Amino acid sequence: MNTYIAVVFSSDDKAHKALRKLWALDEDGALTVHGAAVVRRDDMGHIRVADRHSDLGRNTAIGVGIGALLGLIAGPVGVAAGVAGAAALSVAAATGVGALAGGAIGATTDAVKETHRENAASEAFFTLKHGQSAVIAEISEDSPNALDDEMRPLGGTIYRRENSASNNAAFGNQYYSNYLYPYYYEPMYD
Amino acid sequence: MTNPQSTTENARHDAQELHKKISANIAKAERSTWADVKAVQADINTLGSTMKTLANDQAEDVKIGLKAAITKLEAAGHLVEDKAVAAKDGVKHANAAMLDSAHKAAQSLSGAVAAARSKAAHAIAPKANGAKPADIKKVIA
Repeated sequence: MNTYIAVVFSSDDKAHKALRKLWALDEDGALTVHGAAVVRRDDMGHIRVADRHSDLGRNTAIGVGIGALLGLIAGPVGVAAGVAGAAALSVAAATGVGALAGGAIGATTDAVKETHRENAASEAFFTLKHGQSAVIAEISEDSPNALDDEMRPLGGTIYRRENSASNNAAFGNQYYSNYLYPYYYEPMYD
Repeated sequence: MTNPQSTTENARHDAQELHKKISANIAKAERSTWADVKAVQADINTLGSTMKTLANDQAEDVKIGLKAAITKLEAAGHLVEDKAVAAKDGVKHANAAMLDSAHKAAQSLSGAVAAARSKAAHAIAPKANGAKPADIKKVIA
């Protein structure tokens, strides 16, 4: 099953260890990581993505992208809004509208997605408290046991959300995927 | 005989390395040149060819992802220097397009790897109840 995960830790150090463990599980074939990153909520309350050493500064302006993903994974309000939005869009699509109306729905869809992302980003701020760090990733796993067994000893709180058509339809999966590195990297902040 | 699982894992590794290489060029910012772009394009074209061969043996959903990534790789592999655009901007846009294509390639290949691992795990499960992931990997290899 393809899943978005967020594992929240009390410190950067534990999140960095967790990122290493996650890719080690990939190396062992216990799960497959499609992309992962470490994020932190700093003392000012901003959520930041840790870059790879040579990329420092690339992800400084994160906007709502990665925050929305964290909210989607962990937040009940963000998720509820996403599911409701997807249902509404499905109904609209099923009515067989013409080109003009289709354009209007397209515009509405963008607005709905924007609202969902903003809602989810707000959720992220409740999930990740000041000074906390998290590993965010998209993975494939046949069973949750391998990840759970590695993350729990580090004290991580694990959140999962299925990478489903409805979630992606509501949020737009291309929106944040560029923040997730498709390989292990040594996380650093500016 | 070539092991399809190993071929997919190797292609994924190549895509990851390509992503790192392009990221490094982007980090060079204004010092990155068209020579850097062209050097990466050769790798992009090689990866695209490998992925075309791999795509034939994949399940339909994985194949769709691979084909979308191949299209992006081909477009990035054919980017040519535009003298009309300021050299700095041209290199910047080329690097961004190549990074995006490498990212898509790595993601679609990890999808193919996940599908193969899942298939292998399910094939092994009834015979080797309680097998550890490492054991499964040994069987695949």
